[in-house]
Amino acid sequence: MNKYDEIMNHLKGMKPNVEDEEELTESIMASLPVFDCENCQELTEATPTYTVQAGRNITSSVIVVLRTTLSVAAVFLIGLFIWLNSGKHVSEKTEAYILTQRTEHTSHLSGIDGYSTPAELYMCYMESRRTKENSISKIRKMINEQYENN
Amino acid sequence: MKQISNDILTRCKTGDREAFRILVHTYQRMVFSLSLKMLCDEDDAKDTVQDVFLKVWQNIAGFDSRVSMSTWIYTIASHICLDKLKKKRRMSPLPDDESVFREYAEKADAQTELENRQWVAVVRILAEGLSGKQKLVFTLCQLEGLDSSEVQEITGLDAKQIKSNLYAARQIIRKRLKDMGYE
Repeated sequence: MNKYDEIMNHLKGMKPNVEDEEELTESIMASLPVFDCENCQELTEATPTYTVQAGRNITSSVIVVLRTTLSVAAVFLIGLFIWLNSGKHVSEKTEAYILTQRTEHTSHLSGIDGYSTPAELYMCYMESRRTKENSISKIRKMINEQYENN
Repeated sequence: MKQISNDILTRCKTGDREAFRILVHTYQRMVFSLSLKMLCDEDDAKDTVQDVFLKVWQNIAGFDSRVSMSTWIYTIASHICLDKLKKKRRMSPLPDDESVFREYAEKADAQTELENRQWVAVVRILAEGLSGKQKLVFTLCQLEGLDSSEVQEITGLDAKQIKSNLYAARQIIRKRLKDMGYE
């Protein structure tokens, strides 16, 4: 038999001793909460460990919910920030149109750097609306003329 | 394994403190033994005994009489010990532990009872580097002498997992003993 088996065989048969068993039993009994057995409810006379535990559980669940909500909100905001900065929400057509309008109509307002101010953007928008209205009326006019010629 | 009578159990379920005192008296050494071997600290072990019986008292009304009381108490104790082990810093042997262990190992064949401080030193030397699960399986199987089916019930692990944890624990301990010069 090697040393491992010898030690294990020896340890297997033994249990540590509680030095003062009565004292330990008394301390356990003193720590027990009192039960109202008829209603199966605990009366808070002894150590209310379970109440503290329940309170902790509620607090921790609130923290978990709060943490989850804040994480989701943070991710959403970061996503929104990235999306807005990437400029994907502005279609290429619109962007090209704005650039054209800026050079054609509002070049006097643009700085050397070429960035638009809100006023410039507003003017571009109004210009685009006017152009659209004009083109629709031109089309109507053309249709009418064609109709009359026929 | 010690068991309490059905009469005591029924009285405990109705909140009879005197009956519960008998239950505590019957099982406190068993719980203390497991706690001391798992936590390697006498004060922590006593606190754990108190926590275990508080939990037993709070849940005894729902205890299923078909299950052995000792297995049920061992299960509660194991969970509490594992929780406490997680919160504890890594346990390393103290400088005196090796000399205590060598002294014990020299006369391990003789039927000498170990004092609690010796138990702590011996387990600290043997179980250094074991994970919580390995330590629990090793303690229950090797030191407490429980059979595999009971350990399965207590830990919730299947036979294969118990075998692998026990094998890993044995390998680590054998290596440690070899490093210390014991073959």
